[in-house]
Parts: sequence; structure tokens; C-alpha cells
Amino acid sequence: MDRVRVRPRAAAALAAGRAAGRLSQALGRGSGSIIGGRIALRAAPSALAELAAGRRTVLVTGTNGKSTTTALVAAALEAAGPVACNRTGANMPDGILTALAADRTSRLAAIEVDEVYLREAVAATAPEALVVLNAYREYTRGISLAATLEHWRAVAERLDERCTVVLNVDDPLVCWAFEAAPRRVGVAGGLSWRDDAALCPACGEAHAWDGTAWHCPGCGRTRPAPDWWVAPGAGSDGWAVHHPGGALSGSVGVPGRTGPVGAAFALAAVGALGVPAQGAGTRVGAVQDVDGRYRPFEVGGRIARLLMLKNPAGWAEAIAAAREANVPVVLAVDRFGPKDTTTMWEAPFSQLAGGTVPVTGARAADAGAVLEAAGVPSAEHADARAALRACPPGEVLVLCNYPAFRRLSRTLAVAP
Amino acid sequence: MTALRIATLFPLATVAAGDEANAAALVRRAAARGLTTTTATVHRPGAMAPAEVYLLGGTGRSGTGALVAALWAVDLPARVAAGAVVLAVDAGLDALARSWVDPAGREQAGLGLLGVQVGPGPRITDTVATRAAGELPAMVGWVAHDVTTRRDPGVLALCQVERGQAHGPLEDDGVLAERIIATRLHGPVLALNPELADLVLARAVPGLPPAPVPPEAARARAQRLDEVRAAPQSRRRRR
Repeated sequence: MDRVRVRPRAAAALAAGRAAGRLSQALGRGSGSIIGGRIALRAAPSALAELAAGRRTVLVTGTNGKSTTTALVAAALEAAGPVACNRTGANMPDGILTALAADRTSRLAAIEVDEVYLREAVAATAPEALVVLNAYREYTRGISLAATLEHWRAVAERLDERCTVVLNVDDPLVCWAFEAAPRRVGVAGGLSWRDDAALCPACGEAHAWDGTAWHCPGCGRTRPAPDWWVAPGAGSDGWAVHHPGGALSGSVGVPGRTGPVGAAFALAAVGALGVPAQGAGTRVGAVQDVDGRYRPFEVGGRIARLLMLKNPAGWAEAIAAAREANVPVVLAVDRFGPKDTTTMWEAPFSQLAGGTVPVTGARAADAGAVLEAAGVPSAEHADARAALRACPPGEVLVLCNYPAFRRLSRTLAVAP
Repeated sequence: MTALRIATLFPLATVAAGDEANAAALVRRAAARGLTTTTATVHRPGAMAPAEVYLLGGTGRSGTGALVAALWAVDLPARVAAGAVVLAVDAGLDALARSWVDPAGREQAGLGLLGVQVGPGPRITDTVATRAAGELPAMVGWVAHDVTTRRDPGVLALCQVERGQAHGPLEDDGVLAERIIATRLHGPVLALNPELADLVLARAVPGLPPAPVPPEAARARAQRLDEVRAAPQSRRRRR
């Protein structure tokens, strides 16, 4: 297949970026994908649009679940051909540019976008589908949720009418932000943390909830009926994704509700591009690993899966997943600047009461304090393998903050 | 006795910094004395929950205007005059100050419950260790702001800073007033520093007996204090 061509200025900028990326890699400063992309974008601001031109692109944004959903979208799209994808989670314009520069032949693209850069990513890639998962408050950069929602609303007002927004109808903030989108498809994506969506962004009234259905008594806005939703299917881990054309069932490698819900988003998105659901569904079900997430690590008869958590919504969802599946948890928390464990304190760890939770990592003391405050005893272990061995044999969920996730997805992959 | 009512006010107005967990920390310290509590989170002035202790928090300048308006709407000054106690963290401190600075750099009027003027300053993100004094031991927390905090003459700081930048170049943090305790420290600060929770409680319920600090919280704090004291000055002062 033809390579995506770029103009000389962009080509020179990409070469400079590659050189910087290799240098960064050689110096041991990471994968080099961000610095390379940053230099290329500075030298040729149009490089991202040039690299995206001629591709059929699905963008995925939101606060939580972007990497997983993007991997499922990529798998679903592969039913129609090779797919370019920023699989390592580098989701700002520099990282997206590096991913597209590395794959110049694929005519399809599944791209994860940091919610703060949506305007730039939409302008550069002219997506055919835009998946919007949820809108939770973020803690690392101090960006207000209100500012992000206003930004999204401005994006929605200028969206091309060929772009389908695939949005989570269970999140009233997402629904409000994309009200003006010309084409909308609804997915019942769930909302694991309602506190951030307590107020109607349109009129300031408090939302009323009935199950997953929400409505605003002030302005009358209400949850749109979903076009796609998930229901239990055949088998213990089976699911069925319902949509206007019928239902698809199967099993999925990604654990908890994340798997089938992500599958619904992915199938709805590729459906907007005309990719048939049946073939896409098979490929989605086969995804077992998303950049170290979900891939099982075996330690002395324990089957460990890592979850990376960054806000109370994420911790709450992981705790709920462990409870629903009746699977023991390990907390792995490393150092990550002044705020490294702040988001754990609001999460409902009291739901883990009933056993001793193994904790590990450089911030194990914080994990122990968080659990004590929730009335849950903990036991500190020198490393993750020892913490896993403290659990009964079988499945274990390892709840990690970002640096612990990065570290364990490396160290558990190699034999001790 | 009747339950002590604790209300977290308008947490969605400001940028999240984990301060909503201060309510649960207060509940735990009250329970350690056999005090019963109720908690509420107030999102709209129209749904105000009267309480003996109000908690304010969040960070950044973008939400302070909305927070000030909501606090006027529930007449927080009258509630304080009637005896309510307030813990105000960061953006909450700004809202209670005589003046604060909006995102465009303009000076705006706060509620004026604290003799403090807040102005623009360099952006700071840092871990802070404070010095033990009075009922408070050395405490730890983190700050993230771009403001300066100037106390009027005679207005007491909450504590002195040993390491890190709480108020920028100043070497103290917060305000200790009769009914209001204010700080720049997030953490959540009451979870990491139960003695500060005790100080807030004591303002509402005088004569509380002492209660031991859980060893887990003490250890988490000691670890951070050791780290911030061991870090070289240049590293701690980076943005």
C-alpha cells in the first residue's frame, strides 16, 4: 500500500524528531516517542494533519478507559484492514504524531486522545468516529472539569457532519458537551463515579438518578436511549452487546465490565465506518493485553492482572470489579510526586472489608493508612510476588497507581 | 448528645485536590472519642445542609469566584458568627480572604472572614513539612498554586514551615482564627495529620479527650517527612 506522503517541511521535521527520539532512547530516557514527536511538531505544525490525511480515523477520548477502548477499536477495525494506533498510551499530539509517522501505510487509524487536546486532534485527523467515554475530574494537572466540558462543547459545535460521535449516554456531562454534534450514537457505558456528575452542567440543578437513568429536574435534560448496550450472555464470563441490528455474544479477554462495555463502544465506532459487527466482534473478544493491562502474570499459582488507576472513579471501579468477581486484591503503590496517593483517599475501600489486603511498593505505608482509615487491615510485602503469594491461589487483581503499574508490567513479565 | 454535623461545601466549584476526604478523616477522629457525626456534601446553595463544621477545599483560581458566590448565597459569615467552625483548604482559603486574584489576574473580593490578601505568585507544586508547635506535631501535605498569601498584622499563621513552599517565599502556612482554620496543604491534610482534625473538632466540641493516632497514618506521615527533609533544597524548589 502507498505510504502517506508528507510535504518536504514535514518530512524534514519528522527526520529531526526521529533523531531526537533515538537519542532520547539511547540516553535511557524512555521510548523516545514523545520528545521526537514534540520536536517534529514544533518544526512543522501541519505534520500531524499531513500524516493523518487519507486515513479513516476513530478517535477515543474521555478521562478513564481510553487505552483499553482504543485497543478494542483497533482490533475491531482490523476486520477491514491494517490499523495505525498509539498503543503505548502516548495520547498528546506529539505521541499521536510519532505513532502515525511510524506506520505510514495503514489506511485505518485508532487513536487515543488526551481529553485536553481534543480540538487539535479532531482538526488534524478529521475523524469519522469520535468515542467519548466519560468526564471525571482530573487530579494531576489541575485542569477544571468545567474547562474541559466547555472545550468539548466548542469541538462538538464545529464537528464535520460526517463524524459520528459515539458517546456514553450514562454520563450526563458527556451528553451535554456533545449536544451539538451532528451525528450521535449512544452507548450505555456506565458511570462508576457519580459524584463528579452531581450537577447539571446546563442549569446547575442536581441530577436525579434512577438506576443508570438520569434526568435534570431543572431543565428537563434526560438520558438519551442507548443504541448499544451490554447484557449478560451465555457462559459465566459471556456477554452480549445489543444494537439496532441485533445482538452479538461472546467472551472477552478484558476482565470486569470494562471488556464488554469497551466492546460495545468499539463495535459502535467501527459500525459508523461501515465495518460489519460480526467479524469485528470476534477480533474484539480476542484482545488479552493492552500495554500490560489485563495480561495475566502467573506467580506461584496466582493469576495476577494489573489495573492502572488515577482518580477516585478508577479506584472505585476496580474495587467494584474485584467485589463482583469475588477476586482478592493487592495494592501496589509507588512514589510519583507530591500527589501520588491523594486520589486513593476518596475511593470506597471499605468495600474490601473482610480480609487482610496485601500492599506493596514504595508508598505501601500510604496504602496501609488508606485501608486502615476504611477499616480494612493490611499487610506490607517487600515485593509484588510476595504480596501475590499472600493471596489464595487463583485470580488476583493488582490495583496500581501509574508508576507501580509501569514497574510491575515490566518486572512480572520476567521470571524471578 | 446530638450528632455533630459536618458538611463539605461546593466541592465541584473548584478543581479537585482530594480534599473531600477530609470529612471522613474528621468522622474517624470524632468516633475515636465516641462522638457521633453526620456528613453531607452540599452542591447547591438551594440544598444547604446546616452543620457545626464546614469543610472547603479544592485548588486553582478558576473556581474561586463560583465558590465565593455560593458561600454568600448560604451566608457563611452569618453561620460562622453563630458559632460554626470552618476548615478552609487552598481555594477555600482564597474564598474566605478579604481579596483573591482571578484567572485573569484581577483582584476580587472574598468573603472577608480571614484577614488575608491573596495575590498572584509563581506556580508552585511541592511537598511541605511543617514544624511542631502547640497542639500540632510536624505535619505533611502538598501544595499546588500560583498565588501569594499576605496576612494582616495580628493574624496568626496556622504553623511554621520547615521544608517546602507553602505560601511561596513565606515561611509559614495558613491561618489560625477563632472559628476558622485555613491552610494551603492538601494531602488530604486531615487524613495525613489527625492532630489537625482534632484541632478542628476541638473548636466545635471543647474538652475532647486525647486519642491515639493510628500507627498506619503516623507511619505514612513519617515516611513523607523523612523524604522531604532528606531531599536537597534545589530538588524541592523545582516547579
